[in-house]
Amino acid sequence: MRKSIIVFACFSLLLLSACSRSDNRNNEPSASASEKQTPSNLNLTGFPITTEKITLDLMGEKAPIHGPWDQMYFFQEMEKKTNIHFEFDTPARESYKERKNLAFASGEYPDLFFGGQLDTADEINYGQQGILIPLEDLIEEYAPNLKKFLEENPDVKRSITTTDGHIYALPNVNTVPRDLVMKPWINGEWLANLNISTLPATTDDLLELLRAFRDGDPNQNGEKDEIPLSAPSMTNLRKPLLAAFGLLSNSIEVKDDKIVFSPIESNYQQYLKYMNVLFNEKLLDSELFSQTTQQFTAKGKSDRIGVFVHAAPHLVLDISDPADNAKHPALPVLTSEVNSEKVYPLNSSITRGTFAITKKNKYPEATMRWVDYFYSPEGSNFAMVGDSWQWKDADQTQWEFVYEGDNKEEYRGKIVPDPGLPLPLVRDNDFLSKEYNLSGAYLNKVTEEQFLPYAQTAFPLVYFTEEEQDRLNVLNADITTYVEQMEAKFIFGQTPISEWDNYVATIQKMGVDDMISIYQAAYDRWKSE
Amino acid sequence: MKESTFDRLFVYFNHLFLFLLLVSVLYPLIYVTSASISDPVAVNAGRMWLFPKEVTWEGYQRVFRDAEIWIGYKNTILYTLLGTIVNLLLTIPCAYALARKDFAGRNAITLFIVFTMFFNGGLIPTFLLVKSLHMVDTVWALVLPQAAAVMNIIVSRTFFQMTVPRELEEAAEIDGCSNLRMFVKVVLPISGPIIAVMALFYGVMHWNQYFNAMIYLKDRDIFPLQLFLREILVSSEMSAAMQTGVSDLEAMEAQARIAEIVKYSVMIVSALPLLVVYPFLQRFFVKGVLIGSLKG
Repeated sequence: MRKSIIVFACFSLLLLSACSRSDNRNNEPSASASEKQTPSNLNLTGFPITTEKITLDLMGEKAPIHGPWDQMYFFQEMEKKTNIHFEFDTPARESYKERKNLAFASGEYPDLFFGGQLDTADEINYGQQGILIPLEDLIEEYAPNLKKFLEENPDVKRSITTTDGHIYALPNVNTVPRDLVMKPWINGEWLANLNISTLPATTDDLLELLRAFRDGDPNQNGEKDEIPLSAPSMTNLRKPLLAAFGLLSNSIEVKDDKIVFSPIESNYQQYLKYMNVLFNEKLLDSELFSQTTQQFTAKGKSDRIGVFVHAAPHLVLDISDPADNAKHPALPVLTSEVNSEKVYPLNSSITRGTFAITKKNKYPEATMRWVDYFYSPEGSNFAMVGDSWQWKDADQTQWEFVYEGDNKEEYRGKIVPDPGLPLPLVRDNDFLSKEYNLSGAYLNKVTEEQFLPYAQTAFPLVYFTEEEQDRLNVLNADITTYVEQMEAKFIFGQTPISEWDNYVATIQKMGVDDMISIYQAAYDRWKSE
Repeated sequence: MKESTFDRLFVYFNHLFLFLLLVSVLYPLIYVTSASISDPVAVNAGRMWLFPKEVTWEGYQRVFRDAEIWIGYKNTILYTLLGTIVNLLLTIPCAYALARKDFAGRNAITLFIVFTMFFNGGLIPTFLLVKSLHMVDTVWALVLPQAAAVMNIIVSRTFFQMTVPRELEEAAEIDGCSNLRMFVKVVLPISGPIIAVMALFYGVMHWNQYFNAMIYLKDRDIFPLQLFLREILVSSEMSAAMQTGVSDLEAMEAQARIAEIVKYSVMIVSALPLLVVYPFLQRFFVKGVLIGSLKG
């Protein structure tokens, strides 16, 4: 046995010594981003961007609906146009995050991220380590479209500038109305079957409507299988109901420049009471907390759902012609006894971290010129629909997407990387609103008329310092979990609402004041920038 | 011989127990098969629970039309064959050598090998190693880093210790047989069961392998089937998570729909080859693994 230990030790030593021979790769000179003189290969305006072809490594997330990126019309045309060729590394969505982290950690990161889904921690960590290069000077010199856009939209600029004053990643900006709020809908056929013509305006009206749906057999199958109120998840359902009680979120929100934590506000208590009534009267989908989107949709397609919160009726109900969406009205923004002012939560129009340049990139100027194209209407539309569209009329008021196969989005996913992935671009509302798309037009109209006048952002996109972020991670994990657990318990009646004071005290013990002050500090910084 | 009441009771409960076991194994198989030819809406609404409802072949049509699935299929078969051959070439001789009592330092080497079972370099160092060996984005990244599994070496070693009598080896030695020749001509012919079992173990491992492929491969032309399968299966879940904040609901919806349709048929298509091979290897299985593991 002693002999074997010695042999084993020898082996281990051998292995260790082999390991410790450190290699000093990665010391190759990197192109410095702040070089002032124009690189000789670069054209400052127009196309192609470089006089000779250059090749860059690109990393991006392949959405499930995408075809292979190297075969996309979008990238092939862009290469012809700009003289920039890409070597693609496009891990699929479910493995992307792991691959991205591995790339950073092992030093094998690409020249640029496009559709890169970088989170704020990536931007801050790798930005401060110098792996991602600051972009603001490049924007100033080489990105006229983006520069103009940021000047016109200081809010966007504030939301992409990190705490050290640098911009490390570029955003996707989407202000298409229908994408800005998650809307509640009412099954219009059920309304017609029950001869109801006035839509609810308060929470009490809604209660009455749901009761009618429960008792009146609105789907006319003789069975009591109706689910008056449902949604794919609580996240959706909360939006209209919290709003009725004057709250925009079930976490942090801004009220007159002051941060409040909604779940300890008294109006939140009223919300819980109301939801508990809905549950007790069997008006609420009992599977709300457990169902998948597919299970939810299956109920909708079987005509069992009355009021629901989802992007569009035709995605839930059994509607084959999208024009029939118009038969199903949106549930108006509600008020309640404790809240007479109409409010509704507004989704953020900005998605951060879609594009970044790393220090390995030898052509940051050309890369910036390349991406700037997508911040122009022409480039943005090209990334959205390629050239697969045509005007429907001579006046160019409407266009339609031309596709092969049976599904528009599937085809789009084969030619451009836009479907299912936020890209560095600003959506061109002007052009997109002219698409001949009946459901889209209806959704935009409803959103603009009924929701946008009341819509507000709960909390703007901000950056936290590393210290703040560390503290927040801990606080958020505890508090959010507790709040959501208790929400379910209050709604299901497992915890009586008389326990409210204990609940608030527990949250305060968990350090909610710390949390509020961190958000307040970040918000004040954001505001002053 | 007459059975006592207790015996009969025992047999009765034994049958009952085995029957329940059979049902619990069979039910998912039947469910997936039925779901693969049912309308996904019916499946999600819970209307389909055993036999197909609202039969549709769209799932299979899509699978067979999808070029990538066939690329994946081809690659998986290649990796499974190649990988298993490499595994066997290393595992069996290694296990035999370690089984020989007259092999000097075998305890130390065993210890060293077993050590790797409990400690390894971790993901990033392993990735860097594979990268420096220029194996990233090649077949070898899936074959060489796991060319031998410690557990399987130990099982095979025990098998050789138990089934190859020392006397047989001595007899061959007296006749002037070399070690290599003894291994090839004497030991291998009586080791059929363990080779079959190892081939099965390794084969299944390669067939189901996705993680290494996910980490090391970039080129979609060399992706194994499991990666494509995973993309399809996970996409239906992800779309639910991404519902708020992101636009493109129609894109999400379209991809979720495809995933729902294809999900079960892809499962069937990818599991079928193993299901077919299994019964033929099963008879070796009992022999090989029992001898190899339990008596050790």
